[in-house]
Amino acid sequence: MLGEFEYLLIAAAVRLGDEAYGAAIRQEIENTTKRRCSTGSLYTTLDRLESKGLIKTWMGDATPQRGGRAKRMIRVTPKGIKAAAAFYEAVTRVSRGVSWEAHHPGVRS
Amino acid sequence: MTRIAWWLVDKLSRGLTPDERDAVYGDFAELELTGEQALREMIGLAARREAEGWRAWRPWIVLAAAVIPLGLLLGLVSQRIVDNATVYGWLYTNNWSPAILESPGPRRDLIHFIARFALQCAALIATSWVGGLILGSLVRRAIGINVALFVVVLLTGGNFLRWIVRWIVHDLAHAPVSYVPFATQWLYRARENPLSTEVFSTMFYGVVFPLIVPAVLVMLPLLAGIRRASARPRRSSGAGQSGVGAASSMTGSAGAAGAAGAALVAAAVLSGSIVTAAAATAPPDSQDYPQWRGVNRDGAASAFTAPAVWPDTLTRRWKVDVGEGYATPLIVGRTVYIFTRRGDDEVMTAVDAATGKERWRTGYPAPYTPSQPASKHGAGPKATPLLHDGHLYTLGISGIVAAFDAANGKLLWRTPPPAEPPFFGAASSPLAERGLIVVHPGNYGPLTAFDAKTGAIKWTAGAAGFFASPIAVTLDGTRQIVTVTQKSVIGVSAADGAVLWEYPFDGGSGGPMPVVYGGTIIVSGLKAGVTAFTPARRDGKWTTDTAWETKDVAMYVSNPVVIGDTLFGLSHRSSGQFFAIDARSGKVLWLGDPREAANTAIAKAGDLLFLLNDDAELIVARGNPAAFTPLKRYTVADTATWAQPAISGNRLFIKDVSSLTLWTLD
Repeated sequence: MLGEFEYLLIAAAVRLGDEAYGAAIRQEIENTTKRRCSTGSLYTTLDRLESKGLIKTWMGDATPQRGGRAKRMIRVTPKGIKAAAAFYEAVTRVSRGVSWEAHHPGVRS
Repeated sequence: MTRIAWWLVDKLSRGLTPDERDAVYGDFAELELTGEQALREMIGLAARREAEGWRAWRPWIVLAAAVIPLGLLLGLVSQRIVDNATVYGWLYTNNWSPAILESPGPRRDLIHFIARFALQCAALIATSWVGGLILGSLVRRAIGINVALFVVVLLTGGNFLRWIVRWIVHDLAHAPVSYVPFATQWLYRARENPLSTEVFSTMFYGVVFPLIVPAVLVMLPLLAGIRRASARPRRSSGAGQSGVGAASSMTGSAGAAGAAGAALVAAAVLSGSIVTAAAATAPPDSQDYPQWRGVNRDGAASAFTAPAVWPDTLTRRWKVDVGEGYATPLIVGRTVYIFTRRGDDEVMTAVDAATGKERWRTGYPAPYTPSQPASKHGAGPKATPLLHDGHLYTLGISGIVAAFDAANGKLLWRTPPPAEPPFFGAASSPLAERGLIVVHPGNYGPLTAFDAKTGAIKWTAGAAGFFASPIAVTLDGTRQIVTVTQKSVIGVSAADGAVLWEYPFDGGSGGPMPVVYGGTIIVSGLKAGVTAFTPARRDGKWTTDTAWETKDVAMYVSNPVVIGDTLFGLSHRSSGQFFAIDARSGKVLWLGDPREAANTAIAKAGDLLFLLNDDAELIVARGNPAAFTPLKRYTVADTATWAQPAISGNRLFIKDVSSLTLWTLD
């Protein structure tokens, strides 16, 4: 079973498609979750996911905006898609019938 | 503050692989982080990497089986050495008299003390270095915490062990501590003797000296051993371009084998204080010579140490027939790889470096008839192979690119021969960069990048190539491949083959590869003289300004070397003439005698030049900007020597027309 951040990272990589690489994934996660995503958590999670065979990474293009440095490109493998789908399904299933608004602090149930 | 922060970022980033560093620095640039922000991110990454390493079982096993026992052992031994040396040192320095040297008895005691202390120190250094090699080989990622714990155990473990033993034996069992085996040797400390109070109460003998000894005799060799283990190439079965992160955590079989060998040596050192036994480990990788013109493709020998006195003759260790060709032999570990022609086949042969005995031979059919102008050089391959990630890559004389498994010679992939073979034969030696094998293949094809694993073409760049081999350099912060085509010199992005800059140059009139001097590229051709230019990026665009040029000398197929600020080479003019050029200005500093050689293969080691003429004369010369300064001349073959020699340690591997010979400097 994936961890929460692992799921976020895989989902961001799938959304970005061919443009999925370190900095782009980081910005995608920060923009969508409004939570900070550090380089440390990003790259250690990438390593972990790659060692599990859930993603594949390779060195891609360098651009002037990156000071001529190459990107670490990311592609989610079929195994990664399957794991993310299972995570999503589990979260959806366990959330069924739960109303978070009703349990929100300040709301009387 | 920002500069300090970036400096620290740079230091911390050294724990990353080059690809990872590239990716992380690129992200920082793209996210426009300040130095302080980048530092915070890098610290976070380093900490998480370290913590991540401890998710595996290996660091825990290493901690329990190696770090704690080794720290305890070395702590106890170093404390014992410190205590003895302190007492004796204090006695001698405070009671010194010339009579000690004059009387046979005291003199013998002094010599005995010095010899024993020196031997103990050497044994401690050797054991610590081997311990570091083992630690570094067994665990790479979580090494930081393991080293920190080792220091703690080293400095406190001995005292803690003593306290535990005394508590159990003395306080619980109410028995004399001397009942414990070896207790008198290992649990007793001279500083606890009341007679030694005066000695150990001084700041130097009581505090400073006991810290200096473990720091110098244990920690420094240990860190050197770890560094040596980290520098070992990791054999992977074709990790290729993918698996950037996964590759960083790999521990190669070479490391494990090295650790096993090192463990045997450690046992030998500990049991018999055989100080020099550490040298019996596998040959250091720094002696490897894995590609054309050496590790950095700059003509440097690998780990060469000049003898105090140059011998009159070299010692011939072995000579074997390997087939014809001009490819430089490669040396990796205990194996020499040589790429040659035998009949209609191009063959790769692995021989034992110590004995010359063949280990395996493999090849593929590659019929080739040299054109009339090149016929005197035969049909043997001219390009030197490349050993990268456990694979050998070759360019045959007819333009075929092939890959072999270096372990057994299995042919992994190869390209078909071109429709028309190259007129003078292919001679460009392959280069590895980012999982790609880059070379000018076929019939003087453009610069072409092959996937190292599959042989698939990833990109091509520039115009037709010729003899020159590409180099990989970082210019103005950008990693790129520089090569000479038949009409220009180009800088190419390794990522996609995009030509970053182009400098017009007649590259079709010779074969020297580009030479880097600072940020300047130096090239030469038969009709082109010697030219230096500086690629630079200004306002996002690359420019190539000529730094200097001279027509006074010109190189054909002999590659020059840079030593300090001087370029040394063989000019094709006057039937071969050695020269020195000021690499800063292009001024010719001196010219040697004419008619020296048709070709000279030039190598360097420190400030020494090795000049192997095609008539088999090897000249050792000082790289002197003021004058040609030969030191010694040797004859190293019976037939012509056009191949570059591979110099590794005190070994010189010389390829002549069809034989490979190992000479040593003894």
